[in-house]
Amino acid sequence: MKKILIVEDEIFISEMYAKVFADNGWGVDTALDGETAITKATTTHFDMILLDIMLPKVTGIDVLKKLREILSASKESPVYMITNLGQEDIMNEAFKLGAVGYIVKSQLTPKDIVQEINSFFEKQARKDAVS
Amino acid sequence: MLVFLGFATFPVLIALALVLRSFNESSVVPAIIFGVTFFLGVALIVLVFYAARIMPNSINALIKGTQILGAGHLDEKINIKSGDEFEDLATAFNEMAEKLKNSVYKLTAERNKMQVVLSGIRDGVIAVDLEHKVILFNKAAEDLTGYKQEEVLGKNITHILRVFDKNSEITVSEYCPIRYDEFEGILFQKNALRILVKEKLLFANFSSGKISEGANVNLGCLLTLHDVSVEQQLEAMKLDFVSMAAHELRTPLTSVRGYADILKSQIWDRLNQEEKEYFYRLQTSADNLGNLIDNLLSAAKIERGAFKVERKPLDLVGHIRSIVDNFQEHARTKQQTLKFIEPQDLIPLVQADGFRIGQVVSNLLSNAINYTYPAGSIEVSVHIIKSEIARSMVSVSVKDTGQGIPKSALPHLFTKFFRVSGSLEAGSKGTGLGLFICKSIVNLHEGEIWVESIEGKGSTFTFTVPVATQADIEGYHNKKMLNGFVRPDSHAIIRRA
Repeated sequence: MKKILIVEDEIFISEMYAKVFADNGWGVDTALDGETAITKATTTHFDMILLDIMLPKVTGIDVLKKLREILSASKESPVYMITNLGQEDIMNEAFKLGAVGYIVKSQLTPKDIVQEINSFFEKQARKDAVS
Repeated sequence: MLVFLGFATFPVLIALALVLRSFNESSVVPAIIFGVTFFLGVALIVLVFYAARIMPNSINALIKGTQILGAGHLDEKINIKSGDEFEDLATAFNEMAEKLKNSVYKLTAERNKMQVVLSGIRDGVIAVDLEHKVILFNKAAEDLTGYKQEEVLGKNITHILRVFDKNSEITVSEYCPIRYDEFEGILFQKNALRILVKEKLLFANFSSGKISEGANVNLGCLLTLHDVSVEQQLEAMKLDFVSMAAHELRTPLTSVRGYADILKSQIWDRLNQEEKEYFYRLQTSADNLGNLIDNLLSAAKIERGAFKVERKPLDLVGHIRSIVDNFQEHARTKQQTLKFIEPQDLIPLVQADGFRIGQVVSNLLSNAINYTYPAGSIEVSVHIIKSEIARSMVSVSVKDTGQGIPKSALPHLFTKFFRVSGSLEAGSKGTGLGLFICKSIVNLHEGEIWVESIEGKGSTFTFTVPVATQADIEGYHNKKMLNGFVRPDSHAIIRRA
């Protein structure tokens, strides 16, 4: 079972994504702030991290930075930024730090997001098969 | 002087009469000769005596008087009461001094008035000479820059302030070119420029002008600075607020959409037709709210100059055909026929942002459906506008048989927040941002958008986008090799390529 960490401070949204991912066969863990996210990702390996940008205490960008810096169980895990901000500079920074995708939450249903994540892994599998 | 001579002659005449009597007995003629000679001699003595005593006084008074006037004491009078030409001369001098005094007074008043006006002007006014040295610096310029007039007079303007537009510095030869010709008027004018003064950044509407006698009076140009820092701050705050509010609105919307979707998948099969219709309405309303928020964000971005399009070669025909397909259901609910007219000509690839052009077409289509009566028809067509001189364009037209637009509304149709009032009000909705955004998108593509409309008959909206050149196509293929990614709000998902 693939494991996903959902980092989202809005409890409604966090639970909503958690439910849909669980329904689709994922092992789900959640973090409501940046600090918790770093702790969880450092100790546990996740196959995917959904990371909100506007978080209390430590922002999503800082979480991403930290994850890439320190020795962590999820150092290499693919990260999708999930946000309702459409700021190009933030997005560029996230991509520079190695995020693999950027999702505008309000424009998608949770199912769309599961689909996007699944298709990411399918593509990844195809790439791996080729190489 | 003649009067003096008259008085002086009186004793001489008595003496002459005495002499003539003594000469009566001998010879008359020599006596006359002697008398006249004697008279003239005495007259001469009197005259010399007079000139030596009286004239130097008048001349001295005149010299002294003119010196006083020359020193600028125009209130002083030359006082000569000689009753002769010297007095006339003195009077003329006094009149001249009086006129001079009036002129000086008028000039001073004019200068003071000018200074009051300049210091009263709330815009900074700076005059520089032909070498760009400051010769005038009004009170507002002092307040604006923090410099005092006496600190800057004679200094080169470039040592006092630097002017920047959005991208680069504007040099003094650009904003204050020195011209010796007869030109008179505005030399340079730009709004919301950044002015760097004493390491402080101001925003100002900046303009410079020249008068035709400038070169004669050593006036290079006159700069005015209208401080808009506060306005800029407010504008930035407004845009930040809109962005923040839109973001905050998107958060609950995410929940509404998400939970509606979860609920739908769990109970859909158990719902009756009426309940399903409620679900449809719930989701349509959430979509509409989402579009409103996106439009607000787009409009804020347009104003900030941060709205961008990512142009690449695009098959416009296929793109539009599929958008039209997506609207078929919407048109059917209003019993309208919606048709995509397949183009007769071959339409080449255009250089456009597919998502943004999709926004334009969707906006025009949804307007057409909203403003067309049931049983009306809507046609979408694509044409090529070939040009030998300029770049060829492809035009897209959305033609409806709707209620049309009043003539008076046509010029304002593409301006922000404009909504057609009156008869259309009942059937209209929206924020008045749709067409404003459409126009911005089309303009970013170097295209044009316009409307032809007859009230009661219908409207045709047309926009153009440029055809992709060979260079565009090759450039795109090269760029694709370097992993790029798409902007955040053009798609809901952006992946690393």
